[in-house]
Amino acid sequence: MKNSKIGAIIKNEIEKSIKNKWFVILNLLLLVVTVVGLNFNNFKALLKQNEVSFSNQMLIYVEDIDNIVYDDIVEIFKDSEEVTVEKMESVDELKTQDLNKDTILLEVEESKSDYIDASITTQETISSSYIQKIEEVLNAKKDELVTKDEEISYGKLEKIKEDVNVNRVILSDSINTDETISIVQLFSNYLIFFILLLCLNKIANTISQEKMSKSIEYILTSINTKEYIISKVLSMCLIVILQFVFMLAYLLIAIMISSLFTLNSVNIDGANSIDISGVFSLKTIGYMTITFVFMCLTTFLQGVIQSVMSAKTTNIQEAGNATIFLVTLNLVLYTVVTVLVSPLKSASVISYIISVLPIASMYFIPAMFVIGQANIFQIIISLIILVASIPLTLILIQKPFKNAILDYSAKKDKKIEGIEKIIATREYQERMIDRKESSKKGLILGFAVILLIILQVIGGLIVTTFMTPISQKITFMSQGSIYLILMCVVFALSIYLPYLILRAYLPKENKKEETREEKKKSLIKSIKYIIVSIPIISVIQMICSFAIDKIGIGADVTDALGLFNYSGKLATILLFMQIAILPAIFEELFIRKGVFGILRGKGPIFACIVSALIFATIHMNISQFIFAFLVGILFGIVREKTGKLYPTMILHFVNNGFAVIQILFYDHMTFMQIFTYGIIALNAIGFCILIYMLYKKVMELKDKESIQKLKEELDYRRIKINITENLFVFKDYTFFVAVILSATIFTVVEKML
Amino acid sequence: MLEVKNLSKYFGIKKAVDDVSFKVEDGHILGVLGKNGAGKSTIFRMILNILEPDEGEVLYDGKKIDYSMSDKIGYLPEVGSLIDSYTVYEQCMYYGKMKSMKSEDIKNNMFELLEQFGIVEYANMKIKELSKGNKQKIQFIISLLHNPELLILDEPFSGLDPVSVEYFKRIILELKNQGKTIIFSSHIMSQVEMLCEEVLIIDNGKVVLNCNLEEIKQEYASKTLDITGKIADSTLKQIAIFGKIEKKENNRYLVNLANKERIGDVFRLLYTSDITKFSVLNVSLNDIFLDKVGTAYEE
Repeated sequence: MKNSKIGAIIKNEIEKSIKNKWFVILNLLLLVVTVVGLNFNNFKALLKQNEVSFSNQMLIYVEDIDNIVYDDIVEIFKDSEEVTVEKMESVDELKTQDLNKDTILLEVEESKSDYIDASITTQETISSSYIQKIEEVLNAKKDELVTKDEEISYGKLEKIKEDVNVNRVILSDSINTDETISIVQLFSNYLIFFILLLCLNKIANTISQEKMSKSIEYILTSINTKEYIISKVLSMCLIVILQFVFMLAYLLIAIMISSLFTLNSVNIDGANSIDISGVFSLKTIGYMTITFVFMCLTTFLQGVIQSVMSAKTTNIQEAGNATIFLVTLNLVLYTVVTVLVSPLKSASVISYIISVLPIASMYFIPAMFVIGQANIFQIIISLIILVASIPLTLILIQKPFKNAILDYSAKKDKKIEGIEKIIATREYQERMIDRKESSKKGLILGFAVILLIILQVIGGLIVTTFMTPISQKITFMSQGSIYLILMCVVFALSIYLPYLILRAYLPKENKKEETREEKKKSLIKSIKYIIVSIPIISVIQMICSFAIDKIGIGADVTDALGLFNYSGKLATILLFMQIAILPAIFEELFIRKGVFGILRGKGPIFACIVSALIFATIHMNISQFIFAFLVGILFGIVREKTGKLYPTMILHFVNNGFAVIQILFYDHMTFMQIFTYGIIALNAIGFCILIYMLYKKVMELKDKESIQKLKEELDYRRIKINITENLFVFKDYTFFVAVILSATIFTVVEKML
Repeated sequence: MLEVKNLSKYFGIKKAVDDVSFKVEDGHILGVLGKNGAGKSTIFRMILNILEPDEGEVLYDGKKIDYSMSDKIGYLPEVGSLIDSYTVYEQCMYYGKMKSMKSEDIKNNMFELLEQFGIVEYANMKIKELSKGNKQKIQFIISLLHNPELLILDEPFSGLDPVSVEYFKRIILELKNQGKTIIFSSHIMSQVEMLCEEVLIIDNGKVVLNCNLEEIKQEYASKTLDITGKIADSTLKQIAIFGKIEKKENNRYLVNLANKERIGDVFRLLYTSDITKFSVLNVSLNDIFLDKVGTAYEE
């Protein structure tokens, strides 16, 4: 009985969407596009051919060492003024893709069995009439040779009647059978995306239509939520599959038309048709099967998720936007798969892990299968996980779906209606404002970080692109120096511009004149913190390098920067600037002033952690991430304690400069020795002061008053780090987009290197 | 028989329905009366099993209501539940199928009902071409399409002209005579008053009043006297022993007796007074509401 209801919904949906006029229009369009698209070359050739026959000049180069046909060819084209025939020693060097389109290359050789071996090379678009004429000459010559050299017998006569075996070479992007699978892959990827988009869109539309027309109220009295979702998603998937079948039909029609052209290829030379023989290899069939299975299951799963999201919408606009999340997710996965899975590199553990996750498996498994990196075990596991995730998702979403779809009121109304008493208090209202402010801050931070990453990447690209023309103009500087200068400018700008955005949102500080005494005090405090931080940084560095070695994700930064490729004083200074000075100034400005300043109101601990997180993110590097995060926290503490920006700038400079000096002066033994001793001494001093400070703190704690004070301070901080409220900073997803973006870019950069 | 036991529902921290219990016998009409947002629709949704109650349960013929019974229930939602792009026939088909009906039956029943309402010409019109009143009629038709045993009508009269209201009333009474159990809600008191025997008044999710309309009217009516005339103060004092006196303009008094057997006593006390009118008041539902809740019922 229930199944009949599911069937009724499915039937109804399919009927409705097929009867829709847009369905008809879309399909007609698809038919036209497919036919024209697949026969594009044929049509082009048809057009070009007419063009060519009226064209200006035709050049025929003949490589004919034995002088078999040259004279005859000159003879036959004697009357046609537009044709010039030239003899050449060898035409091999002309056989490139850039061959002039009005040129014919003819190679003729004597052959024992066939008398004449000939080869004609042209561009794709050439009039067949010339070829025909040449072939005529060749045939005539062959006849002549046969009759002259041999006694004419019956067998010989047969041979005379046979055409010359002309090896026709067409220089165009013809499709090799080897490439078929990659074309199938490309095609199916687009198809998957298209189908998915169509499916999600349709689900979003139908569910929000039923919600907005409130017919859901009636339907849910007759059928339960799970069955409703299943029938909706299933019907949409069926519609899309139906559409898919239609498209296959169009494809077949197009291929048939294309083969019609091929049959008449005597008239239309150079028109290449799709070679579909490669489609039916075992590997391709396996690929298509796997893709199809994963696509069906994943589309269903995503449809279920989409249905919940659409259930929350209350108007048409929202219904359209509801698909954005899943579409973005799919785009990201698609990008990740193109980056992570490549035949040149063996699959990493990460890609194996991601490949078994539902949704991601749709992209990973087929891609890995094609390049032979997927094993049966992996495919089965991912399939099991995918299949299991469907009922699980269905169970999980039932309640939120029901709650959302029966709630017709926009969010604001609900709040006012529902919790009148709480809403009346000022505290509650202030908290609501706080939350909004928090999420706005998160949005701005995320946006700034995204801008920073994009500017850095685009800046880098621009510099590399214009490097050659610029270095040709400027001769008094080495290419490396120019590159470094430009990179410095890009680096500074890419951080300073986002910082300007952050600065607009910085809370205004009450500037008060500091007395001399205070200045002195704060200076001493700053110095103390700088010195104390140095050994801590050293320890973090040691731990990190140890950990990275263990995990094995270390990417050699010096290699990446190409530090050893630069020589000369100017380059050294510039390098020092790029690595040590500029980051110290601009990164500190951005993170410790901008980000930290904006988040300071949410409590120092929260500001520390989040600013460290962003600090790590903008390094766009996994191996640096952990180190940057820990150091970021330390810098945050220093910033909080001293209340000044310059201590962290100095620390940053020292940290980066240390690395640069180590690399630049690695062959200056004495200098390095002194330098190393200096660093050790600095560490030792810092360590001693650290011990002393801790000792003092412990001693302070002995009397009860200071313990009380400390407790109060901790309590104050605990209040400030009101996690649930602070997490509203992350409410707007830009922050996560920023992190994903930096991760993606990092992977891309790593691949490119 | 429909039985609702201690039904409660929370929305967030707000208790939308608070411990609601009532019964409706077969062949009876229950009118649910309440302001907008009082919780009527929420109760209906819980009866229909769209919403799950946080506490309590709903029994129909002694069994807990679930989806296996949904084919026996007809529902007219408060909010328009028709899809604009469908024609009336398509809509009936869709919803009829949801009640496990056969296509033939849907078609026959639909035309029968359309004829009853005199709107056969709408069968192939799109929903968006219909007026609000006609949409309501189509919704009503859909709720009756599968000949349900239990009919739940949420605000059936909204958007209807007086003639159609009369029409609806007649059909509802007819259905009642066929032995169907009918629950309907309204925020307009007069509509409830004219149609049903039993009434349930809901305010802020709580049951304020649940009774047989005739009985309660009897009870209230017999206790209030409407007297017009010149009455001496001493007489008034004597009457005040039997009940509360409310003085109105133009020498009119309303006497709310504590006991209806005192009517005769009051009448006897007034024989010396110059009385122009003496009647036992026929109380409206509004008066009862006023008496029970303390404030007048506002729509």
